[in-house]
Amino acid sequence: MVIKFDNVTYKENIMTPLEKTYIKNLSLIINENKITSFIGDSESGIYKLGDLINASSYVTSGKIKVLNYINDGRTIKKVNILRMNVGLVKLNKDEMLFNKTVKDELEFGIKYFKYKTEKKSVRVPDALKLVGLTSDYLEKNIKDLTLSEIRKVSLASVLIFNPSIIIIEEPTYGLQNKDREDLKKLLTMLKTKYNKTIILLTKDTDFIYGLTDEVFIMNKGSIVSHGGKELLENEDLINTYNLKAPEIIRFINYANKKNANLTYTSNILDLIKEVYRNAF
Amino acid sequence: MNFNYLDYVETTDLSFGVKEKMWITFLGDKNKDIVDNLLFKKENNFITINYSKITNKNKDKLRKLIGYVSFSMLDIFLGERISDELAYNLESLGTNKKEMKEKVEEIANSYKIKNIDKSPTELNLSEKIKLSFARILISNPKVLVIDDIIKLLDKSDLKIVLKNLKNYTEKGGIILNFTTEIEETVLGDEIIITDKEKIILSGKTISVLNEEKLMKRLGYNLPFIVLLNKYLKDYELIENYILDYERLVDAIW
Repeated sequence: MVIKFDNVTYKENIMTPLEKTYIKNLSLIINENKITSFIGDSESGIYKLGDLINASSYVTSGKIKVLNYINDGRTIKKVNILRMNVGLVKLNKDEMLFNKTVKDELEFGIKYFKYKTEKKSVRVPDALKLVGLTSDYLEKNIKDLTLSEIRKVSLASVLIFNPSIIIIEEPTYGLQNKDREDLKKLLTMLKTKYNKTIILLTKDTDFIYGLTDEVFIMNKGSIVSHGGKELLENEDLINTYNLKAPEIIRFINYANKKNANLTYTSNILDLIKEVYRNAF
Repeated sequence: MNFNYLDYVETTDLSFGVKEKMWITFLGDKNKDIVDNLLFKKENNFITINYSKITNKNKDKLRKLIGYVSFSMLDIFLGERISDELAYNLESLGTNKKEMKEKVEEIANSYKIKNIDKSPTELNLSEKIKLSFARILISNPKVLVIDDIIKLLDKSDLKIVLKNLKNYTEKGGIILNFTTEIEETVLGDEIIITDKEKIILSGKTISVLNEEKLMKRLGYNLPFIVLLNKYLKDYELIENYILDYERLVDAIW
């Protein structure tokens, strides 16, 4: 167990007419060294979870235990170390990047947090290499980058601290297919080889189907369902909460209504072989 | 009779023309540059409308006919309430009060935006995206430039927006959808793929998606239903492409 939510409620603009509750009495445990996905629509509150876990936001009531830190509304001592250890990649690039060049951005955190690292000159290009960018991106201006490059640089700016927990909002937004496959490989490697804990906050069920170990479905600030990837195979459940099931699942479900008897898989080639066998 | 409504020609092998009622999906690394040029962010001689050039002097002509929806504009609101936000475009065109009120109610209805008296800052991400479509399309621009935003809509809001976009093109609108999500290509009539400063592939959606090998080399998969159809056809389980799961399943079993 690396992250524990204990009856957490999170509200913004309290005591004003704009008060809104984003997370309601949430209790859960996120396990170490796993890829855990939270899925839900825009009203579900999933986009607030990242801020709560890395203490960018404080809980209104309840308690979150992350590594050795406790977020219960009071100030956290040495919160910068918590934030370096829990890397959060936000969806909105304006909340992630604000320096002029890529090099400045990647080095910023190291300078600001006085992060002690042996070889800054190796860490920075290594972080870029992990996300699939070459060293010549260092000199580029951030305003000249395409959306997919910006999302990769955002991820690199978090990996540079070697965090033990990595949280990504909408990991596939802005990425082409090949980049998504590379990201899948990267996340799996970070989990298995480097023992990281990965948390994905997304609507993209296609991406997480072959990747995630655990799934939490969120709706209006609460968990409505929790399980493994078989949750994504339950199309009725997914549709109830304003989400779309993975395309491959949709096809399999239509086929099984006609007694095709296909087994659930995330691999299209296995699916085709089975269709070929069953159709004759 | 062929005429090009909007023509875009850049000096580095990047030229295309668009006609009314077209929906084109753009993929590739030149997307950002093309969008910047369409929004006339810097001086260029790249665009013609009905064969007359757009220059720095008459660039307002271009700006009036292009509507733009993107993530970066989501939180920029010009009105205190949603109804003001929707009315803004009409107000700047000098529409009279009665007509504005009618149009605002009409568009709030067709986009299922419920409480138009509350502040737009209270909306969630998907509702904000819906609002940014509504506030642009209320004044019916000739061209709509969508900058990688459709993917972030909730399922219910996506249905509503797509229905309205379909309406928009049927009445003569042109949609240029710049995206990284391959599944969105099936929404459009044509695809233009750029790679390293050139247009590598362009044409009708199905014909471009047929070039599987080239697409793969450029780093694109096919949309799932198209890939599925391709394999099923290769294995001789279906004769022609069927881009609807229910009918596809009926054809096999």
